[in-house]
Amino acid sequence: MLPHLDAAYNLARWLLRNEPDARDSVQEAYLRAFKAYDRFRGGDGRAWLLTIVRNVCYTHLRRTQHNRPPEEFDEMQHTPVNDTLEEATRLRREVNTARLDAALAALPVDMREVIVLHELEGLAYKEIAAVAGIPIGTVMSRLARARVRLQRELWSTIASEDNP
Amino acid sequence: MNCPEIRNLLSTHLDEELDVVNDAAVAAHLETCPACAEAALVLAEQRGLLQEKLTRHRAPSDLAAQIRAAMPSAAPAVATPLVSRWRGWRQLNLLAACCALAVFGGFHWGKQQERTKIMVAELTTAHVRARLTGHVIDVESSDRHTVKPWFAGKVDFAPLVLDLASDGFPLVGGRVERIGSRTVATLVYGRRKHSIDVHVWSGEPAPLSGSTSHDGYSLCGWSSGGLHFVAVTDAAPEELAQLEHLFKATAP
Repeated sequence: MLPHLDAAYNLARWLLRNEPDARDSVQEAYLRAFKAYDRFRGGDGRAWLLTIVRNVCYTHLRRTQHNRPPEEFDEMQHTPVNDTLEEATRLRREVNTARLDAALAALPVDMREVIVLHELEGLAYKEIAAVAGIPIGTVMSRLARARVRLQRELWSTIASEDNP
Repeated sequence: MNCPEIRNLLSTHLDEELDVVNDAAVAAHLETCPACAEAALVLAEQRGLLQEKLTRHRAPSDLAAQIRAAMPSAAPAVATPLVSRWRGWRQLNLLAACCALAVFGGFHWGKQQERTKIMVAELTTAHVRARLTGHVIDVESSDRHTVKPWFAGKVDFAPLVLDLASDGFPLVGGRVERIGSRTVATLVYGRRKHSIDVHVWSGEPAPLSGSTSHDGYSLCGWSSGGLHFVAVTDAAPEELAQLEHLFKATAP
């Protein structure tokens, strides 16, 4: 059996946002992992594999979307969520899986990545730092910003549905 | 800290990733500031929404086979043609003599190594098999006073069952496993989104001491209070080190 296959696929699927590319990247990652196995010095096998998956996916993204405009600095993104508890509860009740998935898919890839690794794969900050190759402080602030951004995406899907 | 500073730390506080000092400061602030307390609950609602409804994509069922087919086959078997039967026999005898020497020379060292290796593979398989078949627990309870008596009559020793929920390792339940020729008590603990099997033995030499990994799974073995423990998980190895520490610290 292949260890951590679901985790590897889930990460690739969320980073690349389609099945064929995710399949190819996961396969490529396992082949790389297999060849590099003698360089793996024990420790966290899952984080090691996810690091390879992530690198393969980013290479793919760089190849296919080199004309992507840089992310504009957005003041709102740095403002903490101002929802009332009532609003948040409504959101939790009314948002379904399709809308939630769409909102996360709309986030920039670096934010999507930390949400997926933390909320779906249950990685600790330290492990995310290792997989994404960023300092723990960056994991911390990026996750916080990703949550704010996600909340705003969710509200905009609700609003577009309320006023079509 | 003032409210804006607290708000910046809420997300990390919720994830239980703040250092002790800041975490205590945030917790104290939330006790007295209704506005920040509400902001924390808003984040918790979002967390709940993600946990309930966000899709975790599972690998398509044929992907594993596709990857395995693409793997370069490890060390292809080399067929050695026997030039003549006589020469073949002579080579075989020589080979046998060398093997015997090598085997006897490395026997005592090799036996222990081999035993540990087999044990590690078996324990990893038990962990994976339990999750594949959905047979992770026979007795489901977070109460150690329910789990411990359940093992009576199933294993010939009283396993140490600890409730470590306050340390972030909630007890989920237990099952019995057959490892090698031994029946062992297996405790299942949760850890964030992962679960950890803790196999408990008595008697015989310790199956594994120290940490290792197998097929990407982490294992950690230790002995205390006359019992041997091996923990297996797909979470990070540090989690196991922490669990070992808790077990050793709490053992009678």
